[in-house]
Amino acid sequence: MNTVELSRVTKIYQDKNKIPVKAVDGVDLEIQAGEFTAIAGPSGSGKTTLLNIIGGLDKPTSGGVQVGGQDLTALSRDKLAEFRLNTLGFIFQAYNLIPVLTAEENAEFMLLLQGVSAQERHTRVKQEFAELGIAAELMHRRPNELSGGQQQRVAVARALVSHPQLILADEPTANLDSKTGSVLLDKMKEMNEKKGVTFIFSTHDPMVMQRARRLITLKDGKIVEDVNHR
Amino acid sequence: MNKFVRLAWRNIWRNKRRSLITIAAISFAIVIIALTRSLQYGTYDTMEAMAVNLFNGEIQVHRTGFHQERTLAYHFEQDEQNWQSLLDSNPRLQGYTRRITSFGLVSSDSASTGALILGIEPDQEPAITQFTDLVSDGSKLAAGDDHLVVIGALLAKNLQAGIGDTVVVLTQGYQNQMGADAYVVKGLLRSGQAELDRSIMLMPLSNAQDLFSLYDGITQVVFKSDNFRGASRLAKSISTSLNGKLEVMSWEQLMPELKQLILMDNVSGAIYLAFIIVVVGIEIFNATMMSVVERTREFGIMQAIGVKPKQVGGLILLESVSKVALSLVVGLILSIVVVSTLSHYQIPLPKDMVEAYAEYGFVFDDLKFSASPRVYLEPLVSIAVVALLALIIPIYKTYRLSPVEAFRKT
Ligand SMILES: Nc1ncnc2c1ncn2[C@@H]1O[C@H](COP(=O)(O)OP(=O)(O)OP(=O)(O)O)[C@@H](O)[C@H]1O
Ligand SMILES: [Mg+2]
Repeated sequence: MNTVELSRVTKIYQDKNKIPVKAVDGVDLEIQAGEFTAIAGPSGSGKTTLLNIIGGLDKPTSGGVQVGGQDLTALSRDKLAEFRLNTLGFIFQAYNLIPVLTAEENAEFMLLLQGVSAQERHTRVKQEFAELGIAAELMHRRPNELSGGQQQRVAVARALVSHPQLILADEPTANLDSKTGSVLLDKMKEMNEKKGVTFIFSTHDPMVMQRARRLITLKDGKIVEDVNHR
Repeated sequence: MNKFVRLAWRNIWRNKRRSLITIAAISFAIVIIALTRSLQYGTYDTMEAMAVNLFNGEIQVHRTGFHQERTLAYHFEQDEQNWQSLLDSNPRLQGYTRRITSFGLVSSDSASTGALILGIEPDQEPAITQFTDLVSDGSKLAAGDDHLVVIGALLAKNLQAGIGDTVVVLTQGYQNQMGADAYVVKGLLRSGQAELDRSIMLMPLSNAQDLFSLYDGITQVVFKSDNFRGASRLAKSISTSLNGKLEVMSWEQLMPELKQLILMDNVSGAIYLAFIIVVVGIEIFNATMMSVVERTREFGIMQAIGVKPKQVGGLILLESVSKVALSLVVGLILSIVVVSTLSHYQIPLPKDMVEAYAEYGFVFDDLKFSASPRVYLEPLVSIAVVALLALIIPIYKTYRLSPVEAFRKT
């Protein structure tokens, strides 16, 4: 079964002057469980829009969206939130964390919503932090006391501890220096290989494109290239 | 929702200054409103307690026209109605007394002057108004007194008459019959109302009836009730039971200027309070809106990781309601402290107010505070309601926020 199935997905926005903009234009796409896929393309080519549609944050103007067997276009806002909580992990470019919560509290937030016990939350977060190389002394710091790279790792930890089928990452390394970005990417790839979690990135970063096993290139909202580096 | 309690609590204190300003503004408003209400109710309560000092009484029954013309042509039989059964049938009524009110010329050995002559029932009157008790020298009239009078202290001074002296009264009675008689001064009345003290003469009702050739006639029956504020309603119901044969007036109709004095106070007070409440509402709206707009991206993230829109809205509601509740508690404590502290001091009332109230027999010269629960309840309830109204828009906005919009805003 495919984890993600898009059929003829189109997203049209109205810009400020009410002129329609085709952010995504008739995209057909299938992504299997366990893939490590990057979506590349110039700025404005529709990468973020596509990820948001896959994550149910945005609705396509037309076309079908199935993720983990669910038809997202048919779900209410509440059901979509529930779907994200139970099947997805989201990582954005920056400011992923809730400012008033510590690293640990941020990482366990989805578990809290899922109703996981305090004991188990603590064990899972601790283990995930260890695997991602987040030092124990960072656990009780707030986001503004963490470096950008540390914050991104906490965001990855938050996504991973909830055991999602799919992690969507919109330019997760764009705000990091190349060394930090590379370390983060290695960690994500490791998780993909070890736990079989599906990853879909959007990126401008050649380093990310290199490590992706599948590289999809968008231009003007259309897929212009789809390469599998197996 | 308890999953969000910790988050809400921290969010309240993340912008400490803004939260403290909001809490201070709300609790300050509560203190101001409570203080104002405390003064208004305190004044009202004092007046209620002093209502017995009203020369006119709380409710008056007389022949239609008497109130305007004040002539004896409007007299009526003292037993025209069964006053006692009227009293018995209306539990709010506490007592009645009959009177004759008219005018005459009073002379002593050395001077003569016009006087307001009041024939009263000495055994009934004290239960209705206490103003006849305000005798400073000599003693007040008693049941069975004959040809004895109590006169205003200033009138006595003008007449150069003292206790035990004889005064002669000349009147034009009913149907212009001349009346003349001599009385012995038994006491001097000092009510504090200069106008009254300069002109009043009290005599037993039967003496007045002789003097004015009224025999069994009177001009008014005065009632006392257990409810100063409800006098108007009561007057109407008495009027109904009298079948409109006699006119019934409450103190509010007898003394419209007094009603005005109280009403003015109330209306300007209400406008002022409404203003404060609106300002508080705007402040709450503004503070919540600002915090919601600043945190747009955060709300987008929360939705992206699985928080439902209604949970995000609920979080803001929880934060705001906690903040308001905290302010209410602080405001309540502060107002209790402020009101009870101030009521321990004798704070003088402005002089013109003292005079204005004194004209009606309400003699008090310092501010009166009430500590009744409504003094605190009114600001708490009104602010809570306004706060909830002020939260509708910010919370609805948060609830409707689409995550994609949230990310584009930053
Ligand atoms: N909410 C919106 N309203 C109007 N236009 C939008 C909206 N969101 C995206 N667009 C437009 O849709 C197109 C695709 O945007 P998108 O953000 O998906 O591109 P991207 O590939 O992620 O770009 P970047 O690499 O700069 O992040 C752009 O032309 C953008 O201006
Ligand atoms: Mg983008």
